[in-house]
Amino acid sequence: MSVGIIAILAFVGFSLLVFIFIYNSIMGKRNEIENATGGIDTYLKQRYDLIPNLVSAVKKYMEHEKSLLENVTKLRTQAMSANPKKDDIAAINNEISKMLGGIMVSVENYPDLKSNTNFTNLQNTLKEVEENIAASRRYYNTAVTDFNNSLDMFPSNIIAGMMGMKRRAVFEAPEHEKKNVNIGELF
Amino acid sequence: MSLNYDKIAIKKLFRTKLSKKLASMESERKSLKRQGTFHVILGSAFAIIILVDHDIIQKHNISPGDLLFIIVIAWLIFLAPYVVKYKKYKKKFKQQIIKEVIQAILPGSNYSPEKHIPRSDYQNSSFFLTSENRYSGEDLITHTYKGINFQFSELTTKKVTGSGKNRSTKIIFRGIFLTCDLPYKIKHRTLVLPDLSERAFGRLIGKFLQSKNITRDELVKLEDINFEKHFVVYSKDQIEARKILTPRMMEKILHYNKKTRHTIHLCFEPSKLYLAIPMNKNYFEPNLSSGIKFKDIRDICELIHTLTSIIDVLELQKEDYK
Repeated sequence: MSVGIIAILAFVGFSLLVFIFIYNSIMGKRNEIENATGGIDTYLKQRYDLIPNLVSAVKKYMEHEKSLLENVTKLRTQAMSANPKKDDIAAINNEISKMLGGIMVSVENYPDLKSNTNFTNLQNTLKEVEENIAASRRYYNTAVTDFNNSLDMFPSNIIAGMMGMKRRAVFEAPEHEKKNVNIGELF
Repeated sequence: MSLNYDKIAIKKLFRTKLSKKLASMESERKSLKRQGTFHVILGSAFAIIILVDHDIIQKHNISPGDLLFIIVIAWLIFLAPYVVKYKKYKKKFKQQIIKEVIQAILPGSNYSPEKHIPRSDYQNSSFFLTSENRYSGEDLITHTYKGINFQFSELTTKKVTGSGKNRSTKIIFRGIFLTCDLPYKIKHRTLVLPDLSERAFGRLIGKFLQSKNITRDELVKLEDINFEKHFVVYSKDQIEARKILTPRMMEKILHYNKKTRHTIHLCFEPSKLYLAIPMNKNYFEPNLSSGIKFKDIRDICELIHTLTSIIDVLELQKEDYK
């Protein structure tokens, strides 16, 4: 076998290896996004499961917040039955976060409720779930950024283009939450 | 109890109690210094005479290797009384001076000059992949702050391979090692290590190499670019690692790292936290050549204060965890 043929075979073999390496890397990053999405969904589900317990624990005390409790229950049902292709699940979850925050602030007006052990445990569990949701969203954003980088950078962008890969969107806060908070208006 | 130590009180302690004790030990220090110098000069002179006087080698048919061995053994035997004296002085210094300083900063703490952090803690931290076959340490301090039990000591770990002429000693770690309770629940270990790859090879290649490191858990890439420049994080659980290392926590760790003026290693384990700070300086030893000055006492106080403030930095004392 001539040197020329060996060189060509070596080059082809090397190119194939590089292709396989980059292809696997892109697939791995895409799967990482699915993994991260699964993490978010797990903690959102935990939150949905907590809401009925929370509403049940506070409604006896928080007579004046009846509409808030009804709304959060309604949103929970909406989120659990939402169709990911039609409904804006992220918006529903953001609204739930806002309402749960509102409930926790209102609790400050009910000292009996604050000292209730069952409620305190629920509150701590909910806090932990919120922390897990925040952490899993950060993981999701890292996974998406990694994936998008591989779509944009050379030479992986060539192979990603051949595979028809598209950029993914990172998790972003809703527009109204990005604005600076006017502390004066809150009081 | 606050960990902010009173600098004026330390100065007063030095000027009153410690200066008196140091003064009473001064003649002993000078004597040891003189003897030490004498032994070094004598030993060196002895070695030079033997090496220069070829008759000894020729008469007794001794090889250079054997001769060197004899010289070293003879010198050590000659030096032995001095070593015993120095050890006694060091023990006295630690009991009378170091113990006073530690009690002033950490009232009620326990100081054991000859004890150190257990080897199991060092190994559990997984900071260093090279396994040690020499493990030593001293100056163990144990205390409780805001309900958090902690202890720290100086540690030196080495890997010794080969024997005789082929013997080589590699120092794996030399510095301060701290362990304390971790009051909140976590399921897996999260390691925060100095980022050497990124510093050596740049962000892209450094991160690539770290992601391929099969000796560690999964690489955790975090959003704080400044944090990423200094540290690399490994964990089995990407979400739990981010729960521990929130943006605020990362900033606090960076600030703490800057405060120590060394590059820290952190390990969050279920129920335990490990902190390792590599440093060559030995803070708790007597200085035979010039004696202990207030600056040395102040440095010890700063070190202890910095180490124990990790509990405040990482907010381990928060009521939320109870």
